[in-house]
Amino acid sequence: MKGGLRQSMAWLHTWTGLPAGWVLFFVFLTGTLGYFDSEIDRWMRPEAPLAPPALSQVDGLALGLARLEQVAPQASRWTVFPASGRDVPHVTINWSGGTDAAGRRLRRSETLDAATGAPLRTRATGGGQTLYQLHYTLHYLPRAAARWLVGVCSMLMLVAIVSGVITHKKIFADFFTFRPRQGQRSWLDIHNLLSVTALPFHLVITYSGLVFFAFTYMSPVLDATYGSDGRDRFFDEAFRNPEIPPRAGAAAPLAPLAAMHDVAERHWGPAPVRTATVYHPGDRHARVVFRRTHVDPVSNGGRMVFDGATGELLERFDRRSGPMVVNQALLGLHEGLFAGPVLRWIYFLTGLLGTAMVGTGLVLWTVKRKAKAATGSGLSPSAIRVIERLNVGTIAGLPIAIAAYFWANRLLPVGLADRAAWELHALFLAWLAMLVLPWVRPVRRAWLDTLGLAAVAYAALPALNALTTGQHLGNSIPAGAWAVAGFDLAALAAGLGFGLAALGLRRQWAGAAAAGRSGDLVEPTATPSAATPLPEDAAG
Amino acid sequence: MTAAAFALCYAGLVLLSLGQARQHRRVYGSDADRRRRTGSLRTGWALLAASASVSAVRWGPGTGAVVLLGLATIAAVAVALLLTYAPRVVPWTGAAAVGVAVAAGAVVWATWASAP
Repeated sequence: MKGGLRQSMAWLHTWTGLPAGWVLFFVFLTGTLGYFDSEIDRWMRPEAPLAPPALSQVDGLALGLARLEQVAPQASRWTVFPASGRDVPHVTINWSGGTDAAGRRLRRSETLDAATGAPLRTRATGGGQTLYQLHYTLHYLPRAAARWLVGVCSMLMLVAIVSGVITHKKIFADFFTFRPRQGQRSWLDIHNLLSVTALPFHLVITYSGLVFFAFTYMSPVLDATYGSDGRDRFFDEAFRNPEIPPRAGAAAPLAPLAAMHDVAERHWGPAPVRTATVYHPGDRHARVVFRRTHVDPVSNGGRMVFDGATGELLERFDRRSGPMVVNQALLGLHEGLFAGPVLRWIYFLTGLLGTAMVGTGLVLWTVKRKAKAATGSGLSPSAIRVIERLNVGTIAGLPIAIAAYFWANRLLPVGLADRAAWELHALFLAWLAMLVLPWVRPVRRAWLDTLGLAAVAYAALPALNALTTGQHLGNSIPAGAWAVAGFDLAALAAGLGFGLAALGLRRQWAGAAAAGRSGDLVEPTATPSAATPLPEDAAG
Repeated sequence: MTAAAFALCYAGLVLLSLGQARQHRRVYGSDADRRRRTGSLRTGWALLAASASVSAVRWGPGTGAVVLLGLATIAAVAVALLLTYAPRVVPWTGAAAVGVAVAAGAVVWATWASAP
């Protein structure tokens, strides 16, 4: 191990970070947007009323049941989500049972209009849910492959975090330090600042992300105890899923859910129910299972089981088993479903810091290598340029792709077949275009183009919203619809941020050119050797 | 109480930064003597502890710890950027944060005292 521990850790940090970098940037950015998934959902369904009437949970349950009796009397399982705050703003139902003509198991869901009880007719959209799920589905990949790819990248991330901490020479002395306009040093400073200040977040998110799919990554351990086909039994036992008796075959009316809700409220406090599931509705062996809302990282295991025919409380626990609480706390911390507005914004902002950490790490890699290549050591300039182009296309290009997803939501015709799928195709096509752009434009020009385009794509979203729906800021703010207004305002802020970045870079490069220096992403005055322009820099 | 927790956390981090020789030079243009630096560091940690207590009271120990780490992250980035772009105002923002914390504390106390 030449050069000692710190040196080898620096090597490890560099070469674990780079190959996983672009995937991690994608995972961090789309995952971070997930902290506002419901708000994005809301914006992408402009047909929903700005100020829906407030509905108590008891009324919500009744509304849901009435609709289920009407559309799915034969279903084997009904689930009602009474409105329970940010996460479930509207009464939502789903049901399963029976098979369709092709023999597939039927599973349907509807969002209900609180005023009429009829389903809310909204445009077909992936919404915020599909957008945040991208961070582990990666969309076009098969499920298992995506999980493994994200898992390998998360593992590399974990290695990069730990080796990064070890290799950081002055973690306390540099804690507050950022020195701008000093080339490589500035990039190192900002990368350190973003990494160290949000270190607890980075560690917990990466580690818990791995725990999510532990049973996929370590399936032999599970198989050794439960056998390769014992997966369902394992999950039933681990999650203490209620035992549902088989259908009795004798009809019995469903006991009133309002009384069961009273019991739940007595034990769990106001508005306690996240979901109410009815197994075998209308049968004498019907069971009603209440699951508790998320109030802290571990409470989402709370559950009550009622006899559906008599209304008697059969079983109740407020938390999962001790070992499951540990597991659940990690997953709960990752998802942040329990977070109120303050903590939600903290999650979102630190998630952006994490995204920027990955982005600055990727840029730092090229800035460092270019300085070395200019002296004739290290990698060839052409290899570095490939990395640089991928950086432009991802760091500035992916935000544009996500903007394209929002634009497609407003511009694709409402009647288009597979509309929700086309929203996602728009995202990936836009990203592809952004990845190609740096190959036809000089890299620096491509940075400016993409950042400028990102600025316009986001800053114009509120205007697009105003032109295509009646839910512009002038209406959403007076109605107090902060999910919609907040989306528009955040888009404006993002547009402003990208615009400032583009202008700042342009000014810096213009200044560097005037002074006869090559410049890098910033002027590399700290490394005089980089003053020899690379071929493509002369073109830019 | 959120405002108080953040303000205490922010003020604490300002003092911690002023306890570092490099940051002190950036702000005041001169080196601080050892006693003053130690004083800043101690008061800074005390304010962070106060912020931790407020978070724990407001959100409970588990969620409170998550909130505290999050608030500290945001505050640290804010302090670092201010130290870069407007170093002279940093001590004033720290003092203002203490003011906010005291005012928020007074409001909380008044609501608590007037509750039946």
